[in-house]
Amino acid sequence: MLFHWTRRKFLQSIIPALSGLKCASIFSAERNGTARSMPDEAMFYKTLDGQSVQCLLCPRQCVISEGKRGFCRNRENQKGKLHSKVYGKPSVVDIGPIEKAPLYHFIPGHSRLCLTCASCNLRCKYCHNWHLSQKSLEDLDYHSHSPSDIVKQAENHKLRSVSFTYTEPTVYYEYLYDISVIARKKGLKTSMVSNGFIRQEPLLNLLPVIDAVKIDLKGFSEKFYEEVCSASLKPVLESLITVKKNNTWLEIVNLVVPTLNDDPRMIDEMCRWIEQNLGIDTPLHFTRFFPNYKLTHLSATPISTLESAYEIARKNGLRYVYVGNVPGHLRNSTFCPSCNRRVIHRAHFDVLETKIAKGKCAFCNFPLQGIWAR
Amino acid sequence: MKALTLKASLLIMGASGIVAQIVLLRELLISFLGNELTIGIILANWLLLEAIGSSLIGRSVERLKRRLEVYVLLQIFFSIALPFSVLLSRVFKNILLASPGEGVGLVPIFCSSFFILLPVSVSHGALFTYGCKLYSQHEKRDASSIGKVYVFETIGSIIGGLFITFLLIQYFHSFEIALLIASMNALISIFLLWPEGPSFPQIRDALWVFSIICTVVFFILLFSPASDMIHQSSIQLQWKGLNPVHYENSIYGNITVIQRNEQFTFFTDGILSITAPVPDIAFIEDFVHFSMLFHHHPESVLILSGGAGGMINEVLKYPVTRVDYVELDPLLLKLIHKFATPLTQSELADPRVKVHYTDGRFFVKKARHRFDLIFIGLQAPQELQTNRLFSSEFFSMARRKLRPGGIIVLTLPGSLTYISPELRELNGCILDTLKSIFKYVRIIPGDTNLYFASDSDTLERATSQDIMKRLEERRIPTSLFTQSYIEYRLHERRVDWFLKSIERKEVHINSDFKPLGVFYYLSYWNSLFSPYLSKLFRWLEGFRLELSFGILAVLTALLAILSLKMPRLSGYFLPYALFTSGFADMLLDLAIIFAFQTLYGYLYHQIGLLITIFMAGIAAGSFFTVRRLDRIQKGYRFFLATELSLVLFSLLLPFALSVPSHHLEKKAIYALIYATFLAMSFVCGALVGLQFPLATKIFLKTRFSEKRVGHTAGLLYGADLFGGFLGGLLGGVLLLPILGLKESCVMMAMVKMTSLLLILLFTRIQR
Repeated sequence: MLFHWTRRKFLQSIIPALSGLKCASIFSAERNGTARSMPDEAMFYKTLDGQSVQCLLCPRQCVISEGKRGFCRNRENQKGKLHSKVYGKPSVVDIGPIEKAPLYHFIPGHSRLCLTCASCNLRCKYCHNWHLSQKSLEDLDYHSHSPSDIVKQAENHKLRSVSFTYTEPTVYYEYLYDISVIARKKGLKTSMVSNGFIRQEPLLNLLPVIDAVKIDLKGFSEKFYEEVCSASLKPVLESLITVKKNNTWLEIVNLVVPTLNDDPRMIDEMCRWIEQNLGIDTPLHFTRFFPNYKLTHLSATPISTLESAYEIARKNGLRYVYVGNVPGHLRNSTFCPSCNRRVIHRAHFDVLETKIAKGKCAFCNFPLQGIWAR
Repeated sequence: MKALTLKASLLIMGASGIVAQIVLLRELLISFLGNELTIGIILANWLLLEAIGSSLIGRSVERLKRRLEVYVLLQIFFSIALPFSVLLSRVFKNILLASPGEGVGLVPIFCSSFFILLPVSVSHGALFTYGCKLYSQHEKRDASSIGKVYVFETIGSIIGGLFITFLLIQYFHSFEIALLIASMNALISIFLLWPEGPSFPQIRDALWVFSIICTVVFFILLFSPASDMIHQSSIQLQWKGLNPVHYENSIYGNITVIQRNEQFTFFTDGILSITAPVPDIAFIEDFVHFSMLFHHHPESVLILSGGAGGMINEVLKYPVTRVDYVELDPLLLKLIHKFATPLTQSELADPRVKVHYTDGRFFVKKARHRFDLIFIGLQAPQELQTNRLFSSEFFSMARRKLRPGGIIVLTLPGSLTYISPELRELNGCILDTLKSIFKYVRIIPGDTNLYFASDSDTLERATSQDIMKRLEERRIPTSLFTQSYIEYRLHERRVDWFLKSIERKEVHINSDFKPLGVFYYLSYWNSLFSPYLSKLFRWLEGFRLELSFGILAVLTALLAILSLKMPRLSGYFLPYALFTSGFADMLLDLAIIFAFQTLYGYLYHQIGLLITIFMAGIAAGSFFTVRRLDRIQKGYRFFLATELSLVLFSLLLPFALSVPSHHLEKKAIYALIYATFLAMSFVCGALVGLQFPLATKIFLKTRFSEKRVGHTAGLLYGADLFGGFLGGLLGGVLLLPILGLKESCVMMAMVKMTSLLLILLFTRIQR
């Protein structure tokens, strides 16, 4: 029996190799974040048969043949090596408030250098930045900035952090990584606004140089992820746990889309999962949806739906729950979980007043979770 | 079968066609976003399928013996297909194409409307050819019978058009209208097949019984609650999961109200227009407060569309004396009152607010007093009709209605992160247009870009400190406006970035008679759903008159050479002439309607009248020729004369249409130009109407027709419709916006010139 199994395995592995067919197990040379020959060479991929490569960055794990690109439109197989087409070519370099991310517990009220490159590894039908995320580099205008240029720009503008936002940072991983390393050396903080659709290994490699992560938990069902985003939920949940375990500051946004992910049971299930896996101190933002991109035949999210979601989250014990995209809403501000007094007063993206001293509530000294120091 | 019954059936055929077309067009527009391109595609598919029906299916008429039975079968098939197509047009998208709430792009719109319209349009097209054959058998005259059927069909269309426009749309839902049309068709089938004496039962009798059954079923469905039940359940499927609480048609379009918890959302033709009680606060506060705060003392405000549902509420926070709010469709306001929220109730009940139900541009022109602020509440120049509020002529008119220091405010799609080529062209074009009229234009870039234009430099000089100071002085409560927010939104860096992003080499002015904005908007819209077609749009943007001249010259030369080598080919020059006439006629009529509404406003009944007059022109022209057909000896000469007339008409039309609007202030001139428009519409229809029966006579005499009525009727009618298809598809989307009215008319003259030359060649070959 043992002989039989061994012979079969042997034949299985040798025959394709001899006949020149794809065989990942024999000829694969895996790159896992080690030094690159060129800055734009991908950090996570493996060669399959000398010509095709398999990207190991996001859960899609695209097998890419010579001259072709992966699902994200950014990573190209050039003679058996995978290269990032967007390295050093950001389409947007901008300055904006951190509250816009939204990251409400990450040095509130500070301005950050925002950066992004073309394309995305998801296809969300309501994408707010579809002009960028649903295009490839060649469709867009872009700048040429080395990682150190970007950090210099942040320093020149006297900004405290660099933020990778607007489209999915994973798709310009190498560029993001190099910038973050330099930024951290220069004493700047880093944050990323992500969909969380990334494999564990690259994420673990990245987290040491990232201070804060906001992840869009777009819905709490595989069906929603599949139909609306062309992705899956499981890897996103894994990413959330990994970020939390690695003590990188984490906030979650759930855009509540009428009819698609606004079922109170789904929201309840999501909140319970957050409470059990990420803890009650993980901030959760329920944001209002407005018809956008391809989802134009829907109504905006009613305020009562957002408020119900808020209540569900609070009932599940979550301490920091927000209602977003509704300027003027009371729950856009931060309240102390202990004394219930307002410790950060916000008007949309603007911080009007902060009552936090050394990471504690100025009224009752309750320790508030977040990165507060300026 | 009595002649009267057949004539009645032909009239019903004409009426059924136009009613089915309008009902299905309106239904499909709700499912797919209603813009010029969507309308063009749906209309084009209709005409294409009719052409296929009349020419391909219609050809079988010569081979078959039981023509009346087939005619009745087609009628019954049409009757059954129509309500099914209405149902499909509501549920098709959500079942097969997209997730609930998702819009779809050009290719799905084209394909799905093609298949939804297919059974209705093809059977209707084939009915024309069979009708011609039956009529010719009855009359024993071939040429004149086709012309007469054409006349009957057109008269039927006029009657149907008037009925649906002025009566049916407002009082009946689409299923009732479809079942009414189905009942009429089934009923006339009974009379067509009425047994003339006792005989052995045969297929005809079975069909007669079937017609009776269909008639009874249609009437039962029509007068029982069944049609309402189908109507309601199909709406639920169309708005899957969204809880539509009200669905009503007005003459202008459909309004659907969606209720979700405490919130009401009003959709106009499937496009979101108002959300209450909590609108998009960020957008509304930006739009209203920046405008009101840029002005040193706003008192009189005009809102052109989109005011209810928050905007008026924000304006009323200021000490204004008067707010004029113009909305085209009274149904929207009626439903806002019916599904009232505290916000909408309070803003519309304020005595300072005066609501006017009319065309915005018409209102501005007629307004006797001036305004401090004019808000254009439309999101973009989505259609030729809405483009009239984004044109240089309108801006010029609005400028005259502004008080000193007055500001006009409008919005366009934007992005805070990246300006795509489509956004660059759209924003750049409207910015160029504003700059051509106003001394100062200020922009606040955002996901929706805000444009402020004025002749006063106070607009440009206002700093974020001034804005904050005014906000505090006027004690305006907002959710958004703080010192740092104002600074963030007005930051120079952002404005510079935006201006640099929309820099282009050429200046493009969006004008009434060259509505470039429509093309740029459609190009932007396409980039959302079908980015793979973006290159095509960019190529089309470079389309010029010279290019069309080159293409037409080469095509004509090629056809001429081929016909000299193969004389048989010249037989198709007559259908080609009708094809070009259909093309030119559709475009010229579109140009007339378009010019009319720029001068007189989008007044539904007036436009209805204009189209009726156009169709009456076709009927009168055909009738004129049919009556004289036997006496016309030199048909070629007459036909050439009509061809030449169309060339001249195309060349002269732009001169007649380009009337500066301020000339209309005088009543006599107003009436004179109005009459001229009606006359032009009539002549435009009549010229093509004159041609059709004449072409059938000439074609039947040639050896190409094989003396077959069915073949001739199908081919010529199909050619005419196919021309209309191209005119409908290209006219509103490409030719009028890119070439402008004058050049489009010149192009039509060139198109007609090609057929004139080919017909000349054809007459020589015939001799």
